[in-house]
Formats: sequence, structure tokens, C-alpha cells
Amino acid sequence: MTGAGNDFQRLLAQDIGKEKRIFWSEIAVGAVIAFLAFVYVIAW
Amino acid sequence: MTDVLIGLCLVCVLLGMVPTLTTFAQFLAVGLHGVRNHYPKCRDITPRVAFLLPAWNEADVLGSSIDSLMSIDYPAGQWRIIVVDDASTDHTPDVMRAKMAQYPGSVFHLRRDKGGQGKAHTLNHGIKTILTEDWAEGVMIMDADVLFEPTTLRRMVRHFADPEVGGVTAYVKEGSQPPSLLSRFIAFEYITAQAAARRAQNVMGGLPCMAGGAQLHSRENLVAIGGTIDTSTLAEDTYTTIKTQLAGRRALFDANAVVWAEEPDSVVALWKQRMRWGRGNLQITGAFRRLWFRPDRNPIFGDIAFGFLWFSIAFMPLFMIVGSVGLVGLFYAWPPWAPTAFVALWSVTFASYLFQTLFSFAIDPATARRCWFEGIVFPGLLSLGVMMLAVLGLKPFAEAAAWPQPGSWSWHDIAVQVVLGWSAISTFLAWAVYRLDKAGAPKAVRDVLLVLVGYGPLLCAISLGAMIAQIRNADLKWDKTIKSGKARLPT
Repeated sequence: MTGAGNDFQRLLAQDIGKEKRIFWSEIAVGAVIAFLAFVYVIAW
Repeated sequence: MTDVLIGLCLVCVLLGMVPTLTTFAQFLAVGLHGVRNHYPKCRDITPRVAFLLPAWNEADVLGSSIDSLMSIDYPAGQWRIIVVDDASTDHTPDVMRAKMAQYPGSVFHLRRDKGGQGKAHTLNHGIKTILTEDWAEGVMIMDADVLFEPTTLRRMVRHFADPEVGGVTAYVKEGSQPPSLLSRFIAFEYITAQAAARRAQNVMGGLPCMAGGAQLHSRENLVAIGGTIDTSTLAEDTYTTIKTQLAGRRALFDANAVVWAEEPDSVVALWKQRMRWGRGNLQITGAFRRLWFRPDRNPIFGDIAFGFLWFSIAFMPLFMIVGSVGLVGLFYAWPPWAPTAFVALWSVTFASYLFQTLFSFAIDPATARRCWFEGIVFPGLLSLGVMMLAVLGLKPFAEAAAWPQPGSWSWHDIAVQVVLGWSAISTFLAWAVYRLDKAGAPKAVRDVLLVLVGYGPLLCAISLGAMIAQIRNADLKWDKTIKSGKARLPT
């Protein structure tokens, strides 16, 4: 297997960045759902 | 006696929650892929890769697949395309002659004299030829209609820098143009079943299935699993994935490596395709029966959490039907508990649905932009209505919590029982949608019914059909999905 000069690092950085974005998206969506559940329990 | 019956009903309701809770738990693990992934072990490598395309009467799609493969961003001479023609009776040989002339030395045509035995047999014909030569360092098993984005191969091979990795799969996206309602449902389904679920499985350390549309193996791995694809089941991709991991190598999913495929455009075609998958998974369940829930035998497939996940998905319709039976049973055995159990079951389902839908949109915003409606109505408008009844405490339905009592057969009572048994009823209604489609109902009618009943219940109905077919030991045959060349790479 041989290496080749290319934009390997750029693709890798892009993909790692996307995975991090998904991580924070999950935190955000989870927080919204938890808030809604909290409001629902309190209000009902 | 009544206590036992009530207990049984409550157990049934709890069982009805199992698929919801396990898929929800799996979704919770998705985000962890941001901090626990294989990217730190990736290196810039470009091994020689042989693309293996099994083809049976694929003349309509083969040309564009080969063109997309010849346009990838990869060092010249480091990849070649081998088409195994499974004794096609259309003009596949003509297409191949033209493509071999267009790409000399890069495209090869192997023809089987006798075909129709299925994908695994066709693949084995090609693998045997590939392994007799030293050229290929990796083999990409794929479908003839699959289109590769320019960087997909680069993104997949980089994982082979880690010698522990034996196989890598890509994110197969639905790419039919113009898209139909059904193809957009499938596009959303693939966010949840691939982009989300397989990321979580990467985190868990074991992948049950590398998609047969884009399954890259290192040569060492193919040799280690015997140099052939198992032909005893209808799920040869799942079998190969499990064998890879049992042989001691990792199987990975790279969600950023994307390929595009054309998926079924009618409920009948979808039913046929998913019956094959469903029956294949049941065969896999039987083939590896000594592993499930036995961590001492295998740390991945014997893992308890993994077993829950596998069985709750493979047997989802049974869990749903049992949950419905539990609710209706409670209505008769102990009426005061029925509303509570109903609200608990469907509120959990609603919370899980809300989380999974919103998070799926965030995972793949590009796909979500074109199938947001299908994502929202994935469980069906009627099921969403049932969720609302649960979340809103049944007030709109029963008018100020006037929960009906069993004994009379008023319309009100019947409606309540329909709502309690909705999980099971929606599965049977989805089957009715399939029968209507099979009978030639207009597409508009089918689409309206699909939105009402839901795509999720349709998948459950197909799983149930697969179970019944397995129990009846119905004829096993390789029913290939017909492709018309509607898939396009995004521009």
C-alpha cells in the first residue's frame, strides 16, 4: 500500500469536524426534549 | 387468577416498550461517535482496489455506475472494475464491450454461463478470479447500480492503515431522481438505520452489517474468512460482516463516505426487497444462535446490549403486537390501569420519536431538507394522533377523562380498544396498503394511505411477513430488485 500526496488532511479535518458537530447537535436536541418533558410534567 | 392476568398484561406492555427503548438507547450513543471514532488511526494510504460488480440484466444502470467509478478521486492505475455478468439476457454484454473499449485496462468483464443463483454465487465467481492474482489489496463488493462520490473510496481505504480493520462500509443514500414519496421515506429511513445506527454501532465496537452496496474488504480479511461469500442465507452482507469480526478484525462504518443507490419505487417492490432482508436476518439469527447473549463466547455479538438491539429490531412486530395485547388485556382485566399503561407506552414512544426525528435531521441536514415531511410522518399520521392522545392525557378523546368501562359495545368503547391496540392494528393496515398496491391501486391513493398508516408500520408488517414465511418454510429465492437507472449523483 502506498501513500499519495493529496488533500487527505483536509478531508479528515472536515469529517472529524462533522462528527463533533453531530455530538453537539445531540446535546442540543437532548436538552430541548428534556426541557419540553420538564415543562410537560410540571404543567400537567 | 386476575392478579396473574394483570401481571401478564403489564409484562406485555413493558415488552411493547423494548424496541422503543433499545433504539432510543442506540440513538443516545450516536453523538459519542464525535469523541470516540476511528479517525485518529487513519492514514493517507491508497491501496489497489478491485471494484466487484455483480450484474444480472443491469444494462440500464451499469454504464453510469462504471462512469461514476472511473471519475473517482484516486491515483491512476490504483483501481479497476470487474463486472461479473450473471448470464444476463439483456444487452449487458454490449454495454460491457463499450465500457472496456472506453476504459482499456481498467474495466473487466467476467461472464457466468449459468446464472440466477443469487448475488453471493455471482460475487464468489469474481472473488475467486481476484484472489488468484496478486494485484488487488482491497476488494469493494457493491451493487451494479451504486454511484460513488469522488472521495468515497479515499475515505474508506484510510481506515486500512489500522491492521485491525478488515472491512469498511459506506453510507448508502437513496438517490432516485425525481424522488417519490416512497423514495423520500427510504431516504429518511437510511438516516436512522445507517447514518445514526451504524455510528452508534461503531461506538459499541461491533457492526452487524456492512451494506452490500458498498462493502470494502482488505485482501487479508477476505482470505481470513475463507475467500468466499456464504451462500446459505439471503443476507450475505450481514453474514460476511459477522464472519469478519469473528475472525478477529474490525468492521467499520464511515458515514462521511457516501454512495448513492436507487431504491424501490413501489410498495410491492419494497416488500419483496425487505422480505429478502428480513428472512436473511432471521437466517442469521439462527446461524449464529450460539453467540447471542453469551458474552463469554464473543464479546461483540454475545454482548447483552447488542443482543437486545438485534432481537428488538429483528422481532419488532412481535413486541408491538404483544404490547397491544397487553393494553387491551388490561382494559378488561383491570380497567383503571389501562389508561396509565397506555399513556406510559405511547408517551415514551412519542419522546423517542421526537428525539430521533429531530436528531436525524441534525445528523444529515442535506437529506433532511428534501425529506423532512416523510421524517415527521414516518410513524404515520394516525399513529401520531394516538401519541397525541397519550401525551394530552386522552382528554380530547374521552372528554374530560371519562375513560369508558368495558362491558358495553358502544362506538366509544370500540374506538378506545382500537386506540389501545393501535400498534398491532397499524401493522395490519400497512399490510393492507401493500395488498392495495399489489392490486394496482392508483399511486396517489397508495401515497395518501402510506402517509396515514406510516412507513414505520409498513416495515413492521414486512418483518412480520418475513417471520411467517420463515415459519412456513416458504420457498427461498433470490428476488432481485429491478433498477431503472434513476439514481443520480448530487450536483
